Amino acid sequence: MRLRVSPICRGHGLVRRGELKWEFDIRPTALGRTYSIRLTFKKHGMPEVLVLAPDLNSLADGRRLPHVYSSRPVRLCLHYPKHQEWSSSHSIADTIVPWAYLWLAYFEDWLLSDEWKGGGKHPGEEDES
Amino acid sequence: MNRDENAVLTGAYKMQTLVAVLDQLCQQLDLTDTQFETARERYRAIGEWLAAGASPHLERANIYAHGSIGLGTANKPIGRNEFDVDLMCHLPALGPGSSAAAVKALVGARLKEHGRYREMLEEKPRCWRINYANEFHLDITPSIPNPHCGSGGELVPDKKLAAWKPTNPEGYISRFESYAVLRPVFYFREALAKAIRADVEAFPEQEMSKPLLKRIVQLLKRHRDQEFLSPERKDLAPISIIITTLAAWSYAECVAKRHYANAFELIIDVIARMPAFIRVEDMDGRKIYVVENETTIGENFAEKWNRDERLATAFFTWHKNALKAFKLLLTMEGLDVIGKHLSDSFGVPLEYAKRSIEPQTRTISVARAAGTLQVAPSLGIVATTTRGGTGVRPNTFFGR
Repeated sequence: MRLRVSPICRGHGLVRRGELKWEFDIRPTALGRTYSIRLTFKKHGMPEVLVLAPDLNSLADGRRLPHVYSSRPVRLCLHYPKHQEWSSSHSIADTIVPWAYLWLAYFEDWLLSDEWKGGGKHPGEEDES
Repeated sequence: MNRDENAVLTGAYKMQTLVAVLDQLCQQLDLTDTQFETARERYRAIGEWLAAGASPHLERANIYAHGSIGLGTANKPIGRNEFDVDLMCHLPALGPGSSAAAVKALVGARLKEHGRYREMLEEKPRCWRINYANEFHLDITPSIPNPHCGSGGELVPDKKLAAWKPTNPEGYISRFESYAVLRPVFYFREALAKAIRADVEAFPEQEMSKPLLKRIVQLLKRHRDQEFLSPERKDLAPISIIITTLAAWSYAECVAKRHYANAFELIIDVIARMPAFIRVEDMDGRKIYVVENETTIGENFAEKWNRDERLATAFFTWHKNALKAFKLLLTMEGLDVIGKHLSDSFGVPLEYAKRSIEPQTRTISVARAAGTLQVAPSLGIVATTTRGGTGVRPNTFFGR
């Protein structure tokens, strides 16, 4: 399994009742914090990425978090399903994990600048492709 | 790589990044080229006006910038628009027998003959100030040659205009420049490239856009300004020439004797060692502080400390706090936290701090668009190609 050997998401986890749980730390950039991440994945499902700590809501200090599926717990929206940027044929370690780094890098910039510079789509927006 | 090596790598890469951030911060404190040119045009015109005066004593009068403008260490001031431009009005036709008060009055009288200068003129204890509103204060101090100084020194009036005291602004500037050009050698780049199996060229040495020594002085002075902002503390602020001199000596020694991983490590060490260059002499059981002007004889920049011990104490306390402010950058985590700290410690609006950090994110976005973004172990996102890194494939952030 790629997650276990990838040097960018060293952590620990297990598979129970067909669901994979993998926990690891991400420090997105040289000046960034360290975030605890839990990744869950069920066969035929979509991988889910939760930020366990620190609490992004309290960092955001009342501002609504950008590009999340839910804010309690914090579940990151890392790709646009219609674009098929991810499918079960992709390795999570090569897709979802780097995207989580990227999300957190833009998140920290957003905390400082109040501007989300990572682009993306919001539900309900027309897909021009 | 073991865990310790990883931590070293992470820390050194962070330092490297901080150097870039601090340089961005300084760039916002710099005078613009236009401001610099305007100031020069203005004081050259004043020089010509003085030299054209009827008095034979003003013959060959020459105005030049000294202080931070001459040194290239000037910062935008906090809370006002005008820069201070320190100028020396050198009068080679005069000898040390002339009265300091009379020479100062002579310069003032000539300035008052000019309609516009008269309107903008303000008298200060040792100099004349011409106020260009929203641009700068031009402080003009008269000076005469010092026949006893072998290195081209000058004499300027003392505070009471009762006597002349030695100084050597031009000599000081050229000595400072000779320190500023000393180039340190850093070893982190090669280590980093090797550790993550990238080409050394992928991590260009993080250079400052000005000599490192000048950036160190700018940052220290800015921290000083912020710390002594309140009116009741203002008079205790360590003077710029002491900060500049100690930083220059410390920098020269550090560069000559020690090796550093990167510029940030050097900055910290230069600051840490500054107090060691203050000479403390014992005079009948009393401490005498000496920070000598090495370019002339008989000028002690720390002279006032020996009349008011509070000034020495204020320096040492400030120095400790300044060092701490730099070191804290290493332990702080999060762009938002670091941005806030820069703003608080260096007395800049949060906007400045944002603009200092923003290029980091911009680099990521540019590399992302170009498809060259990677996540490297221990470093996080890097905008360069490494053999040990994981590419960041195109994605679209979704969700509300």
